[in-house]
Amino acid sequence: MSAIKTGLCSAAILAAGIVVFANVTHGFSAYTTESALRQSVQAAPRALPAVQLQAADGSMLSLGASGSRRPAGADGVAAPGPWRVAGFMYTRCTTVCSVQGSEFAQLQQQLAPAIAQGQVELLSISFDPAHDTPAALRRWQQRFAGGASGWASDGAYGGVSGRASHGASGEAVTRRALDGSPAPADAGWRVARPLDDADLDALLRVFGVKAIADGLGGYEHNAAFNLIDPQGRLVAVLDWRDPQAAAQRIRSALASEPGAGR
Amino acid sequence: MRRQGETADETACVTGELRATGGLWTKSRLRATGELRAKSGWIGGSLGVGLWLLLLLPALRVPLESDMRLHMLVQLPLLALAGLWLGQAVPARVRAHLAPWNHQGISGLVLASVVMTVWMLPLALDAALDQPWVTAAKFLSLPLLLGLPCALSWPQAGFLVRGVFVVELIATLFRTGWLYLASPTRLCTSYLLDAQQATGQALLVAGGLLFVLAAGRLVWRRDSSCGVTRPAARSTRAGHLHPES
Repeated sequence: MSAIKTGLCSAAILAAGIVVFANVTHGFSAYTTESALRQSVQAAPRALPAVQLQAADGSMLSLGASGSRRPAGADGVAAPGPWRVAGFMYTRCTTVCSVQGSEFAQLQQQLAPAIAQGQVELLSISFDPAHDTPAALRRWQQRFAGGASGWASDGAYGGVSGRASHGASGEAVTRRALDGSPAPADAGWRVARPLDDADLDALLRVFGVKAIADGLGGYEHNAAFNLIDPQGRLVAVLDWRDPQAAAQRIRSALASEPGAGR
Repeated sequence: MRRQGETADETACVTGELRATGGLWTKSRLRATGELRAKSGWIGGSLGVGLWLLLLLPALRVPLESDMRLHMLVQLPLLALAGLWLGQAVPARVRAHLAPWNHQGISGLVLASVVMTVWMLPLALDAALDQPWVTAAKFLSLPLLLGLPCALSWPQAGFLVRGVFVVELIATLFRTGWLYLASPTRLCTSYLLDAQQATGQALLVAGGLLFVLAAGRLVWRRDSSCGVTRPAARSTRAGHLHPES
């Protein structure tokens, strides 16, 4: 009798445990915060808070809540804004951000046609606005722009080989950026910082980014390609080490969008 | 009831244990040890509540949670220990009531294993730092759903059940430790990669120590008498109230 009762009791506990476990792990598929974040965004896109960011050229851009919508065209109807791929970084970072910067540059090349048509815009957001002034942001971007093929593909994860290859092609881009023609923004990759601490907190929360001090004056942080749709919603968090897959995902998002091929 | 002097081999021990089913037997055992339990229960209960409150103090909470190793290998086990002590304050009447549902302590140890598994998830550790309700769940579930059921179940559990539980505990420590040590990426967004690897090492060491301890007990046969013989010995020899602890 007691054995039966215990059997029932244990089975009930086990069943409850499995339900809890399945809930916590998004159906046994996410065991880390990062993968849980990706699953949760995939299942339910997140509306971004309406936030103003200061770009490297000093101009302001807005994120979230139809912020990416363009002003009404000649026909009086607001044209849909671009899709955005956002990443978080800080300019003093010597590890993840450097690699991510070059991955961004790769993504920029992969998506060149869509970027040229204004369908996609890349956006790097600094979570260290105190240090990352527009000038610092500009310098950081110039380290990567155009120099991507040099080292993003050679698999080097440290910054060493990266810096070495910035040479020639980096210079060219720097000149292009400085000689007046509408600079980084036009290349479809903007680098920006939030000006307000509350905005920064709101962004980190909604994107699930956690930056923790590494004790050496820097931060360790999670990174990803965050895909934002024209309505200003975070719709996917993609692996930042695989720009090809990210580009593929973005192209398919563009293709499935009504009015694609604009 | 068997006497302690009886040298039964383990097989006989386990079958004897299986035969001794039912709440009736458990209740009589509880009556015999009731008086001692009341005294030690009061002490254990206060210790448990004291430790629980102590761990809730920010002065202790913040440093323990700032280091992944301390979080996993000190704070979580101490919370469970608080529950273990609290369990001694559970009156014999309640124990007798629960006993039929907890034959051999199986239900309680299943509950403890489930709770332990959930708190070994990297994302649970992160959430316990970021989300207030998960923090509350941690501070409630570890004492009440892990430590306390262990306290109620361990004395009931025989050799086989204890063995399964201990082996599962060791395996969990090794599994999690190896995962943290081997992973090239951060599994917890709240801690640095080297903290994660140090935690992995510490978990492996803890699992190893537990294994040596368990193996040592088997070899020297101090624990090879099963749960059936020992409570009888306990009721006659009051000086050895908790030979298993």
